[in-house]
Amino acid sequence: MTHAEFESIAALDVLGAATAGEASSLRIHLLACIPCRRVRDEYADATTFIALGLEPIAPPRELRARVASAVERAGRKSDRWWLALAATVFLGFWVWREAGVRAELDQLRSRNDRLSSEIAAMAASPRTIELTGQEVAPAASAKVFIQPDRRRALVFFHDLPANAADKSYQLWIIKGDQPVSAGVFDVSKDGKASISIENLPVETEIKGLAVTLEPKGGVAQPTNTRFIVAGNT
Amino acid sequence: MSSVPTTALLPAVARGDVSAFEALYDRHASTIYALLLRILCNADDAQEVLQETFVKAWSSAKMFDAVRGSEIAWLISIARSRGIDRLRSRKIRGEREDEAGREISIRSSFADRNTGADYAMQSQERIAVRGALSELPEAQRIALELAYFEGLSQSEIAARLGEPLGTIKTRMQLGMKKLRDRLQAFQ
Repeated sequence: MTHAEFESIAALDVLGAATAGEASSLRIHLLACIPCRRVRDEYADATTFIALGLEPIAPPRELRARVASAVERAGRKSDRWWLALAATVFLGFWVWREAGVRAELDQLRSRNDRLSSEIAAMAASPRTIELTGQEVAPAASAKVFIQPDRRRALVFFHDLPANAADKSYQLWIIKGDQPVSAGVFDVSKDGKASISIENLPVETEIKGLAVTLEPKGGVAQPTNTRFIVAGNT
Repeated sequence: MSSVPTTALLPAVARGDVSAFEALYDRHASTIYALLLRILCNADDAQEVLQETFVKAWSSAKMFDAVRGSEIAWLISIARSRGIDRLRSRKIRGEREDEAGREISIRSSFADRNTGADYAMQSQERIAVRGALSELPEAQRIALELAYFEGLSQSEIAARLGEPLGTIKTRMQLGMKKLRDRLQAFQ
Protein backbone atom coordinates (compact mmCIF):
# COMPACT_ATOMS: atom_id res chain seq x y z
CA MET A 1 0.00 0.00 0.00
CA THR A 2 1.34 3.47 -0.84
CA HIS A 3 1.62 6.45 1.51
CA ALA A 4 -1.18 8.15 -0.42
CA GLU A 5 -3.42 5.16 0.21
CA PHE A 6 -2.61 5.22 3.90
CA GLU A 7 -3.39 8.93 3.99
CA SER A 8 -6.77 8.21 2.43
CA ILE A 9 -7.45 5.62 5.10
CA ALA A 10 -6.36 8.13 7.75
CA ALA A 11 -9.05 10.53 6.53
CA LEU A 12 -11.67 7.86 7.26
CA ASP A 13 -10.02 6.59 10.43
CA VAL A 14 -10.27 9.93 12.26
CA LEU A 15 -14.03 9.80 11.68
CA GLY A 16 -14.19 6.23 12.96
CA ALA A 17 -15.32 5.22 9.48
CA ALA A 18 -12.38 3.07 8.37
CA THR A 19 -13.03 -0.66 8.30
CA ALA A 20 -11.38 -2.81 10.98
CA GLY A 21 -8.84 -4.10 8.46
CA GLU A 22 -8.02 -0.61 7.19
CA ALA A 23 -7.66 0.76 10.71
CA SER A 24 -5.43 -2.13 11.71
CA SER A 25 -3.08 -1.77 8.74
CA LEU A 26 -2.95 1.99 9.29
CA ARG A 27 -1.96 1.56 12.96
CA ILE A 28 0.90 -0.70 11.94
CA HIS A 29 2.02 1.70 9.22
CA LEU A 30 1.91 4.72 11.53
CA LEU A 31 4.26 3.06 13.96
CA ALA A 32 7.07 3.54 11.45
CA CYS A 33 5.88 6.41 9.23
CA ILE A 34 6.17 9.84 10.79
CA PRO A 35 4.87 11.79 7.73
CA CYS A 36 1.68 9.69 7.61
CA ARG A 37 1.30 10.11 11.37
CA ARG A 38 1.47 13.86 10.89
CA VAL A 39 -1.19 13.69 8.18
CA ARG A 40 -3.44 11.65 10.45
CA ASP A 41 -3.02 14.25 13.24
CA GLU A 42 -3.97 16.97 10.76
CA TYR A 43 -7.10 15.06 9.80
CA ALA A 44 -7.89 14.63 13.50
CA ASP A 45 -7.60 18.40 13.96
CA ALA A 46 -9.96 18.84 11.04
CA THR A 47 -12.61 16.67 12.73
CA THR A 48 -12.37 18.89 15.81
CA PHE A 49 -13.27 21.79 13.59
CA ILE A 50 -16.42 19.96 12.47
CA ALA A 51 -17.61 20.26 16.06
CA LEU A 52 -16.35 23.81 16.41
CA GLY A 53 -18.37 24.78 13.38
CA LEU A 54 -21.54 24.26 15.39
CA GLU A 55 -23.10 27.28 16.99
CA PRO A 56 -22.58 27.01 20.77
CA ILE A 57 -25.68 26.35 22.84
CA ALA A 58 -25.65 27.21 26.51
CA PRO A 59 -26.68 24.26 28.67
CA PRO A 60 -29.32 24.84 31.37
CA ARG A 61 -27.99 26.84 34.29
CA GLU A 62 -28.80 24.11 36.81
CA LEU A 63 -26.55 21.68 34.93
CA ARG A 64 -23.49 23.54 36.18
CA ALA A 65 -24.47 22.76 39.78
CA ARG A 66 -25.21 19.14 38.85
CA VAL A 67 -21.78 18.79 37.24
CA ALA A 68 -20.12 20.38 40.28
CA SER A 69 -21.99 17.98 42.54
CA ALA A 70 -21.04 14.98 40.36
CA VAL A 71 -17.41 16.07 40.42
CA GLU A 72 -17.55 16.40 44.18
CA ARG A 73 -18.99 12.87 44.43
CA ALA A 74 -16.31 11.61 42.05
CA GLY A 75 -13.72 13.31 44.26
CA ARG A 76 -15.14 11.63 47.34
CA LYS A 77 -15.13 8.27 45.54
CA SER A 78 -11.56 9.01 44.55
CA ASP A 79 -10.73 9.76 48.19
CA ARG A 80 -12.37 6.54 49.26
CA TRP A 81 -10.43 4.77 46.57
CA TRP A 82 -7.19 6.15 47.95
CA LEU A 83 -8.33 5.25 51.44
CA ALA A 84 -9.10 1.73 50.27
CA LEU A 85 -5.74 1.56 48.56
CA ALA A 86 -4.00 2.81 51.69
CA ALA A 87 -5.88 0.22 53.75
CA THR A 88 -4.92 -2.49 51.26
CA VAL A 89 -1.28 -1.44 51.33
CA PHE A 90 -1.33 -1.36 55.13
CA LEU A 91 -3.01 -4.78 55.23
CA GLY A 92 -0.48 -6.12 52.73
CA PHE A 93 2.35 -4.70 54.82
CA TRP A 94 0.85 -6.19 57.97
CA VAL A 95 0.47 -9.60 56.31
CA TRP A 96 4.04 -9.34 55.05
CA ARG A 97 5.29 -8.41 58.51
CA GLU A 98 3.16 -11.14 60.03
CA ALA A 99 4.61 -13.64 57.56
CA GLY A 100 8.11 -12.41 58.43
CA VAL A 101 7.42 -12.65 62.14
CA ARG A 102 5.94 -16.10 61.68
CA ALA A 103 9.00 -17.20 59.69
CA GLU A 104 11.25 -15.81 62.41
CA LEU A 105 9.12 -17.52 65.04
CA ASP A 106 9.36 -20.79 63.13
CA GLN A 107 13.14 -20.40 63.01
CA LEU A 108 13.26 -19.70 66.73
CA ARG A 109 11.02 -22.70 67.43
CA SER A 110 13.24 -24.87 65.26
CA ARG A 111 16.33 -23.56 67.02
CA ASN A 112 14.63 -24.06 70.36
CA ASP A 113 13.72 -27.63 69.43
CA ARG A 114 17.31 -28.27 68.38
CA LEU A 115 18.66 -26.79 71.60
CA SER A 116 16.10 -28.74 73.62
CA SER A 117 17.19 -31.96 72.00
CA GLU A 118 20.83 -31.00 72.60
CA ILE A 119 20.08 -30.24 76.23
CA ALA A 120 18.22 -33.51 76.54
CA ALA A 121 21.16 -35.27 74.91
CA MET A 122 23.56 -33.48 77.26
CA ALA A 123 21.44 -34.35 80.26
CA ALA A 124 21.68 -37.93 79.17
CA SER A 125 25.44 -37.66 78.52
CA PRO A 126 27.28 -40.45 80.22
CA ARG A 127 30.18 -38.18 81.06
CA THR A 128 30.52 -34.67 82.35
CA ILE A 129 33.63 -32.86 83.44
CA GLU A 130 33.75 -29.86 85.74
CA LEU A 131 36.50 -27.33 85.06
CA THR A 132 37.36 -25.01 87.89
CA GLY A 133 38.89 -21.54 87.91
CA GLN A 134 42.62 -21.40 88.46
CA GLU A 135 44.73 -18.72 90.05
CA VAL A 136 44.30 -16.29 87.17
CA ALA A 137 40.49 -16.42 87.38
CA PRO A 138 39.39 -18.26 90.48
CA ALA A 139 35.69 -17.48 89.97
CA ALA A 140 35.62 -19.01 86.51
CA SER A 141 34.13 -22.40 85.82
CA ALA A 142 33.10 -24.62 82.93
CA LYS A 143 31.11 -27.75 82.42
CA VAL A 144 31.90 -30.25 79.68
CA PHE A 145 29.26 -32.64 78.36
CA ILE A 146 30.82 -35.52 76.46
CA GLN A 147 28.87 -37.68 74.07
CA PRO A 148 31.30 -40.42 73.07
CA ASP A 149 28.84 -42.12 70.71
CA ARG A 150 28.64 -38.91 68.71
CA ARG A 151 32.35 -38.10 69.25
CA ARG A 152 31.22 -34.76 70.44
CA ALA A 153 31.49 -32.49 73.46
CA LEU A 154 29.85 -29.27 74.47
CA VAL A 155 31.60 -26.90 76.84
CA PHE A 156 29.86 -24.05 78.67
CA PHE A 157 31.99 -21.43 80.39
CA HIS A 158 30.90 -19.04 83.15
CA ASP A 159 32.50 -16.00 84.76
CA LEU A 160 35.50 -15.87 82.52
CA PRO A 161 37.14 -12.44 82.20
CA ALA A 162 36.43 -10.85 78.80
CA ASN A 163 39.40 -11.31 76.53
CA ALA A 164 41.25 -8.39 74.93
CA ALA A 165 40.68 -7.75 71.23
CA ASP A 166 44.10 -9.14 70.33
CA LYS A 167 43.67 -12.28 72.39
CA SER A 168 41.60 -15.45 72.16
CA TYR A 169 40.78 -18.10 74.66
CA GLN A 170 41.92 -21.53 73.51
CA LEU A 171 40.63 -24.85 74.80
CA TRP A 172 43.09 -27.71 75.04
CA ILE A 173 42.45 -31.43 75.34
CA ILE A 174 45.22 -33.11 77.18
CA LYS A 175 45.97 -36.60 75.91
CA GLY A 176 49.12 -38.20 77.08
CA ASP A 177 51.67 -35.42 77.38
CA GLN A 178 50.51 -33.36 74.42
CA PRO A 179 47.78 -30.76 74.59
CA VAL A 180 45.67 -30.70 71.45
CA SER A 181 43.74 -27.60 70.46
CA ALA A 182 39.97 -28.06 70.65
CA GLY A 183 39.17 -24.55 69.36
CA VAL A 184 39.34 -20.88 70.16
CA PHE A 185 36.60 -18.65 71.49
CA ASP A 186 35.91 -15.17 72.77
CA VAL A 187 34.19 -14.20 75.95
CA SER A 188 31.74 -11.36 76.15
CA LYS A 189 31.25 -8.95 79.02
CA ASP A 190 28.79 -11.27 80.72
CA GLY A 191 31.62 -13.78 81.12
CA LYS A 192 29.82 -16.52 79.21
CA ALA A 193 30.93 -18.60 76.24
CA SER A 194 30.33 -22.00 74.76
CA ILE A 195 32.20 -24.18 72.34
CA SER A 196 31.35 -27.37 70.53
CA ILE A 197 34.06 -29.97 70.02
CA GLU A 198 33.51 -32.19 67.03
CA ASN A 199 35.43 -35.35 66.19
CA LEU A 200 36.40 -35.75 69.80
CA PRO A 201 39.38 -38.19 70.04
CA VAL A 202 37.61 -40.69 72.24
CA GLU A 203 39.80 -43.60 71.19
CA THR A 204 42.60 -42.38 73.45
CA GLU A 205 42.17 -41.46 77.04
CA ILE A 206 41.56 -37.81 77.75
CA LYS A 207 43.42 -36.81 80.85
CA GLY A 208 42.05 -33.37 81.19
CA LEU A 209 41.02 -30.08 79.62
CA ALA A 210 42.42 -26.64 80.09
CA VAL A 211 42.00 -23.13 78.78
CA THR A 212 44.73 -20.60 78.13
CA LEU A 213 44.71 -17.07 76.85
CA GLU A 214 46.58 -16.96 73.55
CA PRO A 215 47.28 -14.59 70.68
CA LYS A 216 44.21 -13.85 68.54
CA GLY A 217 43.14 -16.84 66.47
CA GLY A 218 44.98 -19.38 68.59
CA VAL A 219 48.28 -21.19 68.39
CA ALA A 220 49.47 -24.73 67.69
CA GLN A 221 50.75 -25.25 71.20
CA PRO A 222 50.05 -23.33 74.37
CA THR A 223 52.39 -20.37 74.85
CA ASN A 224 51.90 -20.39 78.60
CA THR A 225 50.71 -22.55 81.42
CA ARG A 226 48.61 -19.93 83.14
CA PHE A 227 45.47 -22.00 82.91
CA ILE A 228 42.31 -20.10 83.32
CA VAL A 229 40.18 -23.12 84.01
CA ALA A 230 41.29 -26.72 84.10
CA GLY A 231 40.05 -30.08 85.15
CA ASN A 232 40.90 -33.73 85.08
CA THR A 233 38.75 -36.46 83.66
CA MET B 1 -14.80 33.41 35.47
CA SER B 2 -11.49 32.43 36.99
CA SER B 3 -8.40 34.43 36.26
CA VAL B 4 -6.48 31.23 35.54
CA PRO B 5 -5.03 31.56 32.03
CA THR B 6 -6.50 29.33 29.25
CA THR B 7 -3.43 27.21 28.78
CA ALA B 8 -3.18 26.50 32.50
CA LEU B 9 -6.72 25.25 33.03
CA LEU B 10 -6.34 21.50 32.62
CA PRO B 11 -3.03 21.26 34.51
CA ALA B 12 -4.70 23.21 37.31
CA VAL B 13 -7.74 20.91 37.14
CA ALA B 14 -5.37 17.95 37.36
CA ARG B 15 -4.10 19.41 40.64
CA GLY B 16 -7.66 19.46 41.95
CA ASP B 17 -8.24 23.19 41.48
CA VAL B 18 -12.03 23.52 41.59
CA SER B 19 -12.04 27.13 40.37
CA ALA B 20 -10.03 26.06 37.30
CA PHE B 21 -12.57 23.30 36.68
CA GLU B 22 -15.42 25.78 36.92
CA ALA B 23 -13.59 28.02 34.46
CA LEU B 24 -13.14 25.07 32.13
CA TYR B 25 -16.86 24.36 32.28
CA ASP B 26 -17.80 28.00 31.72
CA ARG B 27 -15.44 28.22 28.79
CA HIS B 28 -16.39 25.06 26.90
CA ALA B 29 -19.76 23.76 28.10
CA SER B 30 -21.68 25.56 25.33
CA THR B 31 -19.53 24.04 22.59
CA ILE B 32 -19.74 20.57 24.10
CA TYR B 33 -23.48 20.85 24.70
CA ALA B 34 -24.08 21.91 21.08
CA LEU B 35 -22.06 18.92 19.89
CA LEU B 36 -23.96 16.49 22.13
CA LEU B 37 -27.32 17.90 21.14
CA ARG B 38 -26.31 17.46 17.53
CA ILE B 39 -25.25 13.85 18.13
CA LEU B 40 -28.07 12.79 20.41
CA CYS B 41 -30.97 15.07 19.34
CA ASN B 42 -32.21 14.83 22.89
CA ALA B 43 -31.68 17.44 25.59
CA ASP B 44 -31.83 15.03 28.56
CA ASP B 45 -29.29 12.67 27.02
CA ALA B 46 -27.09 15.56 25.95
CA GLN B 47 -27.09 16.97 29.47
CA GLU B 48 -26.26 13.59 31.00
CA VAL B 49 -23.37 13.04 28.60
CA LEU B 50 -22.17 16.61 29.12
CA GLN B 51 -22.02 15.88 32.82
CA GLU B 52 -20.17 12.60 32.16
CA THR B 53 -17.74 14.45 29.89
CA PHE B 54 -16.80 17.02 32.51
CA VAL B 55 -16.60 14.45 35.29
CA LYS B 56 -14.26 12.49 33.04
CA ALA B 57 -12.26 15.65 32.38
CA TRP B 58 -11.99 16.22 36.14
CA SER B 59 -10.83 12.69 36.85
CA SER B 60 -8.54 12.34 33.82
CA ALA B 61 -7.07 15.81 33.51
CA LYS B 62 -3.65 14.37 34.24
CA MET B 63 -3.87 12.49 30.95
CA PHE B 64 -4.14 15.69 28.91
CA ASP B 65 -1.08 16.33 26.77
CA ALA B 66 -0.95 19.83 25.34
CA VAL B 67 1.56 18.69 22.73
CA ARG B 68 -1.01 16.36 21.17
CA GLY B 69 -3.83 18.86 20.94
CA SER B 70 -5.76 21.70 22.44
CA GLU B 71 -7.90 21.65 25.54
CA ILE B 72 -11.12 21.94 23.54
CA ALA B 73 -10.01 19.21 21.11
CA TRP B 74 -9.47 16.92 24.09
CA LEU B 75 -12.89 17.69 25.53
CA ILE B 76 -14.57 17.29 22.14
CA SER B 77 -12.90 13.92 21.71
CA ILE B 78 -14.26 12.72 25.08
CA ALA B 79 -17.72 14.13 24.43
CA ARG B 80 -18.03 12.75 20.91
CA SER B 81 -16.87 9.30 21.94
CA ARG B 82 -19.36 9.17 24.82
CA GLY B 83 -22.11 10.72 22.73
CA ILE B 84 -21.69 8.13 19.97
CA ASP B 85 -21.62 5.35 22.58
CA ARG B 86 -24.89 6.65 24.03
CA LEU B 87 -26.39 6.88 20.55
CA ARG B 88 -25.40 3.30 19.74
CA SER B 89 -26.71 1.96 23.04
CA ARG B 90 -30.01 3.73 22.35
CA LYS B 91 -30.15 2.03 18.95
CA ILE B 92 -29.41 -1.32 20.56
CA ARG B 93 -32.26 -0.71 22.99
CA GLY B 94 -34.43 -0.35 19.92
CA GLU B 95 -35.38 3.25 20.24
CA ARG B 96 -36.54 4.43 16.88
CA GLU B 97 -34.67 7.20 15.23
CA ASP B 98 -36.60 10.21 14.15
CA GLU B 99 -35.11 10.26 10.70
CA ALA B 100 -37.07 13.29 9.67
CA GLY B 101 -35.78 15.17 12.65
CA ARG B 102 -32.26 14.03 11.90
CA GLU B 103 -32.51 15.20 8.32
CA ILE B 104 -33.55 18.63 9.50
CA SER B 105 -30.72 18.52 12.01
CA ILE B 106 -28.16 17.63 9.32
CA ARG B 107 -29.21 20.49 7.11
CA SER B 108 -29.29 22.99 9.91
CA SER B 109 -26.11 22.03 11.72
CA PHE B 110 -24.28 25.16 10.87
CA ALA B 111 -27.23 27.55 10.77
CA ASP B 112 -26.90 30.54 13.04
CA ARG B 113 -28.29 30.06 16.50
CA ASN B 114 -27.53 33.00 18.66
CA THR B 115 -27.50 31.25 22.02
CA GLY B 116 -25.08 31.37 24.93
CA ALA B 117 -21.53 32.49 25.30
CA ASP B 118 -18.61 30.56 23.97
CA TYR B 119 -15.01 31.09 24.89
CA ALA B 120 -13.48 28.31 22.82
CA MET B 121 -13.04 30.45 19.74
CA GLN B 122 -13.45 34.06 18.84
CA SER B 123 -16.49 34.57 16.66
CA GLN B 124 -14.33 35.57 13.72
CA GLU B 125 -12.48 32.27 13.89
CA ARG B 126 -15.72 30.37 14.21
CA ILE B 127 -17.08 32.08 11.12
CA ALA B 128 -13.95 31.09 9.22
CA VAL B 129 -14.30 27.46 10.30
CA ARG B 130 -17.95 27.45 9.40
CA GLY B 131 -17.05 28.95 6.05
CA ALA B 132 -14.62 26.11 5.36
CA LEU B 133 -17.33 23.58 6.17
CA SER B 134 -19.98 25.31 4.14
CA GLU B 135 -17.70 25.40 1.11
CA LEU B 136 -17.68 21.62 0.95
CA PRO B 137 -20.05 20.14 -1.63
CA GLU B 138 -23.20 19.17 0.25
CA ALA B 139 -22.84 15.47 -0.61
CA GLN B 140 -19.36 15.42 0.93
CA ARG B 141 -20.40 17.43 3.99
CA ILE B 142 -23.38 15.18 4.68
CA ALA B 143 -21.23 12.06 4.40
CA LEU B 144 -18.72 13.55 6.87
CA GLU B 145 -21.46 14.61 9.26
CA LEU B 146 -23.10 11.19 9.23
CA ALA B 147 -19.78 9.66 10.19
CA TYR B 148 -18.83 12.33 12.73
CA PHE B 149 -22.16 13.05 14.41
CA GLU B 150 -23.82 9.65 14.09
CA GLY B 151 -20.80 7.35 14.14
CA LEU B 152 -21.93 5.54 11.00
CA SER B 153 -19.57 3.30 9.07
CA GLN B 154 -18.94 3.71 5.33
CA SER B 155 -21.40 0.95 4.50
CA GLU B 156 -24.05 2.37 6.86
CA ILE B 157 -23.71 5.78 5.24
CA ALA B 158 -23.94 4.19 1.80
CA ALA B 159 -27.12 2.38 2.86
CA ARG B 160 -28.59 5.50 4.46
CA LEU B 161 -27.97 7.64 1.38
CA GLY B 162 -28.61 4.89 -1.15
CA GLU B 163 -25.23 5.38 -2.78
CA PRO B 164 -22.51 2.87 -3.75
CA LEU B 165 -19.93 2.22 -1.03
CA GLY B 166 -17.04 3.35 -3.24
CA THR B 167 -18.76 6.66 -3.92
CA ILE B 168 -19.24 7.30 -0.21
CA LYS B 169 -15.65 6.43 0.56
CA THR B 170 -14.40 8.81 -2.11
CA ARG B 171 -16.70 11.60 -0.95
CA MET B 172 -15.53 11.27 2.61
CA GLN B 173 -11.87 11.21 1.64
CA LEU B 174 -12.23 14.22 -0.64
CA GLY B 175 -14.25 16.08 1.96
CA MET B 176 -11.72 15.47 4.69
CA LYS B 177 -8.84 16.46 2.43
CA LYS B 178 -10.52 19.74 1.51
CA LEU B 179 -11.37 20.45 5.11
CA ARG B 180 -7.82 19.74 6.20
CA ASP B 181 -6.35 21.93 3.44
CA ARG B 182 -8.72 24.79 4.19
CA LEU B 183 -8.15 24.66 7.91
CA GLN B 184 -4.37 24.47 7.45
CA ALA B 185 -4.55 27.59 5.34
CA PHE B 186 -6.73 29.18 8.02
CA GLN B 187 -4.31 28.25 10.80
